[in-house]
Amino acid sequence: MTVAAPPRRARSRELAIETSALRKTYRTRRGRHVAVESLDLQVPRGGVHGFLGPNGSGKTTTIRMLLGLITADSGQMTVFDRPVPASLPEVVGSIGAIVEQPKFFPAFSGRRNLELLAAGIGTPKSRVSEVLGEVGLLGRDRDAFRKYSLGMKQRLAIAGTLLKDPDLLIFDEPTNGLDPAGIHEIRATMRGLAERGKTVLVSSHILSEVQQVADTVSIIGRGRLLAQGEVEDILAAPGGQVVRVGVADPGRAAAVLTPAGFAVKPLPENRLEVRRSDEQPGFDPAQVTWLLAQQGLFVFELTPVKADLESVFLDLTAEEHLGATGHGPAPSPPPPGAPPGPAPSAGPSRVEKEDGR
Amino acid sequence: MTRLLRAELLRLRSRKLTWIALAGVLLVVGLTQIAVYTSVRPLTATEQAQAQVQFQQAQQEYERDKDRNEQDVQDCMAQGSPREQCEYVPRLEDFAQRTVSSFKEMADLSVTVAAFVSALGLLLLSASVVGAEFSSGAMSNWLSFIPERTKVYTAKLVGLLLGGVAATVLVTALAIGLTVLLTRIAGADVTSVRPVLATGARGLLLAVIAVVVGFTLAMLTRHTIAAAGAVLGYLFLSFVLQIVMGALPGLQAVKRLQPEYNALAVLQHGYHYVDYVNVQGPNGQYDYTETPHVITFGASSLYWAVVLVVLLAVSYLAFRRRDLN
Repeated sequence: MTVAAPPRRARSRELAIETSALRKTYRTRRGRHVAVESLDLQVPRGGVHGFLGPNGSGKTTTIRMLLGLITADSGQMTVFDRPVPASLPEVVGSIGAIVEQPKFFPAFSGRRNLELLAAGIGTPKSRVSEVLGEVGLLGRDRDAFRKYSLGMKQRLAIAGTLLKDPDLLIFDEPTNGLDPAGIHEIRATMRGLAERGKTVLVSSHILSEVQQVADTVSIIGRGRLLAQGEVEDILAAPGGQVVRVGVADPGRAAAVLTPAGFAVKPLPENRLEVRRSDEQPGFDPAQVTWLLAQQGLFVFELTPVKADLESVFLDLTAEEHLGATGHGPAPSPPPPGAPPGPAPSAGPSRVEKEDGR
Repeated sequence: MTRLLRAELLRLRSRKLTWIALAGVLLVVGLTQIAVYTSVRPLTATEQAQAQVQFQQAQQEYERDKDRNEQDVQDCMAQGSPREQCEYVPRLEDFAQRTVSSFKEMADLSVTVAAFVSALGLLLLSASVVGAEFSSGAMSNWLSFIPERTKVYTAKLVGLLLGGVAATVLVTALAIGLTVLLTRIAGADVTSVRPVLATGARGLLLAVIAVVVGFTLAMLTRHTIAAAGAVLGYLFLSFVLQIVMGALPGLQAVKRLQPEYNALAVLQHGYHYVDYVNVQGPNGQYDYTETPHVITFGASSLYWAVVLVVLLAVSYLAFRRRDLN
């Protein structure tokens, strides 16, 4: 497996987070479980960066390593160009993070929990009321944390991160368990922070949700980076452009298109979903009609399907059984002498799946 | 560091369990004072009159049965016991309804109870403070804000030590103060306050030991129940050990290493105990031989210094290296 060079845009921009060859394994009864493998993550400064992957793909493990909660086996990590965890005490003032579910002292009120954090990080007590107001918890701030709904807990956690006025906010699955209104609220909060110049790293397995707020994304599966870059670039990348083709004989049409380098998926009512496979540079829908017409197959429908991150993600992880660590076959190691280096395409950074070739 | 310490003290102050534990300890100290008052109070005129009547009756009976009593004494002495162990002559003090204790005796009891109950409360409280932080996940949240584990560890320990010592000073001062007050109210003499103060001061060492043990056990087990379970498990083991020691006298040397005896040695400035060995005499009868031992204050201090340093080192390394979810 070869990891492509960072996207041009990322290279030219300053990075909030960068990891290189990051690896973490856990000891289990059945031996070593690889949670994160050779992860080269790049999160540009400013904007919302979606950190995507299915459950168990290594997102939370990566975030925990960045925050110094767990130790990496190997690899390097930097936050605002400072190596972490060694320099974490120096940069932690610029980081606000919520890892998985918000975890506070259950018997203390929301206010008391924030007062403790404020005392610990040296923030004036007056700031507590401000951030509680910012997240709309002022009326319930004296209730015990355990009595809060999940949405309120999330809001309190966000208030906690705002105590420091951080430049980088890390939200790990922030909308888990929230109702639609709560999800909308969190989304708006993330966008608002990004518009104030903050960097927001949001991890999620709900891709459609991230697509609505993210400027850039990284997609990981089985602890490995599958793609990263700007959302538009990812969507425009091979596998991202899809057309729906209506043809009288879909079976023959598939037989024509597949050898020509198209990935074909049968749909009901004599339709096919056709996308370019990784090997094909460029995607001209006219090429599809031309190939089919040459074989006497005339299309009665050719509709561009708007690509989304979900379809891109499924495409990327199709060979890896949803890409979750611990599921499906392990990816093959790179062949000896496999050259590291940039991907053939100049767009988003992609991982070439050699075992899929 | 000061910020972290302030946060830890704020948390300690905000916990209901802190105040419940303190109230529990004060309740026990208060109940002890009832015993103090009733024990140091001199006998009332009625009690003295009752004792006098019973004493006179006993004296008359003794005189009446003098010959038979003397024969019993002779029989007893024939078996090798000294006369003072064989002879019973009624004494007035034996007929009092209750024993009148001195201030020193009761003040010692009062301070010992205060020190041990405080230590027990602190052990559980320290374990609970740390255990709850791990089990609720708040430790992980805290470290994501303050990723300096050495400072976090130190602040938590120092916060608990400061709080624990302050509470023990309060409880001990209250125990001594009430004992002095109640002794005076009871009309008895207050003497020898200095040794009681010294015991109270050594009670602070016990508080430090309890805090460190509770804190480190919870750091290692990451759960209040597990830490408390370790203590209960030890108490059970100690109970079993007592039984085994009866059968295997060679094991009695282990006593010197048992924490409870070393804790007593700290508090009482040395702990004296006796090993009993069952020996078969020439006439085939079994008898016990007693071997007195002492754990000196110095030896127990060294014991605890080593135990605490080991516990602190192991728990610190575990906390520093452990992955947190």
